[in-house]
Amino acid sequence: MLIKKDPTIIQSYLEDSSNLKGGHTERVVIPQTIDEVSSVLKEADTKRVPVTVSGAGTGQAGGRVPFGGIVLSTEKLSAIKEIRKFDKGGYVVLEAGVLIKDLKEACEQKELFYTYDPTEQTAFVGGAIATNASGARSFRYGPTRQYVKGIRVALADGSILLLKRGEVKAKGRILGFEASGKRYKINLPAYKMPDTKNSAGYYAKDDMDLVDLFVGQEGTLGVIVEAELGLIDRPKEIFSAFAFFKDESSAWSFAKDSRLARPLSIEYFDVNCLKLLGERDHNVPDSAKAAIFFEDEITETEDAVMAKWEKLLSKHGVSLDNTWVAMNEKTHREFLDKRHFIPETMSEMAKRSGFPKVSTDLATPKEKLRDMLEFYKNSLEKNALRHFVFGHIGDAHLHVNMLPADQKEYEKCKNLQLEFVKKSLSLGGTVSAEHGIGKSKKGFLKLLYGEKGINEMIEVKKTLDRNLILGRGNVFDT
Amino acid sequence: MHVVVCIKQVPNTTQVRINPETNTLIRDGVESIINPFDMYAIEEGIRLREKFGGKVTVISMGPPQADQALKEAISMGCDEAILITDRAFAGSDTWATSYVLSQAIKKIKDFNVILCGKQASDGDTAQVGPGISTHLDIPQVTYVKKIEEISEKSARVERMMEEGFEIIEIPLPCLFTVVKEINEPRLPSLKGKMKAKKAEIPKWSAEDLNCDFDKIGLDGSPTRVVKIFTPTPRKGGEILKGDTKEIVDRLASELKNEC
Repeated sequence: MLIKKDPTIIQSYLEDSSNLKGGHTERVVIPQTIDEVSSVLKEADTKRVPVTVSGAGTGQAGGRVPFGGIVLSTEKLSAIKEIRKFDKGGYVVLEAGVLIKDLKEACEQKELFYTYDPTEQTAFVGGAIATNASGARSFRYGPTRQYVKGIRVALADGSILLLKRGEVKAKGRILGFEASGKRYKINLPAYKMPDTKNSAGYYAKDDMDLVDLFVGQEGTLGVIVEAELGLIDRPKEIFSAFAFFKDESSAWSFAKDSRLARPLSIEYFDVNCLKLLGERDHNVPDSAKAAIFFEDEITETEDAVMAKWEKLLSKHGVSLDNTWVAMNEKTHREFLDKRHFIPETMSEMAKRSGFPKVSTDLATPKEKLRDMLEFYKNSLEKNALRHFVFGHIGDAHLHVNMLPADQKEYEKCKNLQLEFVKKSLSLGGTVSAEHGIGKSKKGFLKLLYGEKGINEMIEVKKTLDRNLILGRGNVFDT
Repeated sequence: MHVVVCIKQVPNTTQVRINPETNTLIRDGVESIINPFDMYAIEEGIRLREKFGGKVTVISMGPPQADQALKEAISMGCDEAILITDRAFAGSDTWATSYVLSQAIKKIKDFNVILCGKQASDGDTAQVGPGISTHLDIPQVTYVKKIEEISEKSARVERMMEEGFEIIEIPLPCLFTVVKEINEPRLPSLKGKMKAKKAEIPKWSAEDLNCDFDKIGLDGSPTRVVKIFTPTPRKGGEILKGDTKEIVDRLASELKNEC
């Protein structure tokens, strides 16, 4: 086990992509085996020392930023233990610190496919599970949760729990199970989760699987050390395109119709994103007011796929001359690079400006998306703030990123962010669709589930982590 | 205006690995792309057509699968494509290749400008473009970074130099090799891709081109590849540490020793 105390070395563990400041820790421990994770936790639990679990630091909500106690980094738990292909699909057993890009490469070699495709390819698998991350292709494939077949979790007292999906199920909202000779009885929260893509708070449903409680718990119920993930067959070929629209409304209507075509992803970019991209890529049409990037699997012939999209694009007044399509893997990669360039550049701009970007991660029920989009547009125009709207329009899940230039604007952005959250809730949406709550969105979670819901979550936590040492300050205050 | 663009299909060099035992390229699983420098030639050809009318014909010498590169060129906006393919061409060096391409252009007959990328990313010779113009006995300008003016009879272009550029006036028909500063290649469009899918690409053989068989393939190539090897990696440098005076003294004495 590695232990780091040098302030210059541990500095990098005090931050993530959220810009949350003020993190501090007495030391960073880096276990190299699952047994070491267990012994660290056992000791911390006995001494009541808070433990913050650290993934790769790509989180957007401050989940890994510690405020006291120790940091437990999963970076050395990086083995892909088994990867197996069946006639259809396969599975992988791997440790929490495996990088998404390494997992993808390992799958590629076996002609298998891991569906999660985030901007941050250097994220850890453990982090993706702990936040139920999703990314662009979740439109077709769904979020991380669906692929977690099993999980090995170290609980706060150091005991190790090996769970297979289907083995422990709740009766209604009561989950009972035994581990390391102890009996646990968990009263699951009674709330109803929003009917959207969601990673806000604990998963709670009648008759749910125990595995699902640990997916999206953000390091508050246990340390995910290993997982078995389901893999699918690699899509044979992918057709991808960037379509440019003369107004936003046509892009929104196109996105709505596109859902029926069931592509892998449907991603939206507003005019400000296009201006940003246009600074680097002069082929972006000047007249475009919005764009949609989509990827579709070629299951039969490419001609059939192209004909389908040609019809849809023409219906919404899109020039086929101005629609970029990938001719091969190389152009497809260029498209993905353009797609990822936008959020990356925004984060860079925020870092340079010295004021954190204020962003949203809201999803609404699909039929309410247009209301939400119009609300964004009107509020942003009225407030004259520098902003970018982009993301997973297929899932009715767009990210609004506001870049304040000074303190006054920053406060304006924060107020607007709260207005957006309230609007999402009024439409039956969620407060976090994929980033998780972490430390920066706890207020929003309270708006979603109320005091009662938060207290129910705390009760769940107390059952598994009676001394409340894990992920302190994440999801809710204890 | 009729523009002929010559392109080459090359392995994507960002993916190429070397077999450490044989020192040769491992081509398995490496995707084929249009030589990146040729993309600028394609774009410039399309821009000339957009400005002056006429057509862009793209040609490539290579194996049958090089038709994918030609289809990509059509998807970007080229009008016609011809694949020059024959087992007899195998092993052609830059001299033989430029001979074959010039024979194809002779067969095309009416053209005003030939555009090539400045060099191919696999061979890096930059010889085929100039070779074609020599075989055709037409003037050429290499490293063109801008076509300032062009008419049926002449053109004025900027030729990139190490420091600054030359302005050259040249009669047409002529050949230009272009550098990346000339433009920003467009992406394939859906309309273009649909056209490319339907396009029938004619294949021209050595016989179709009336090639002199002594001038093509390995036998027609004066170049011999004697050895291919991977250069030994350079040793890492040393970072001098200490206060400024110490570093400067050390650096000066090391430089003296080198001399």
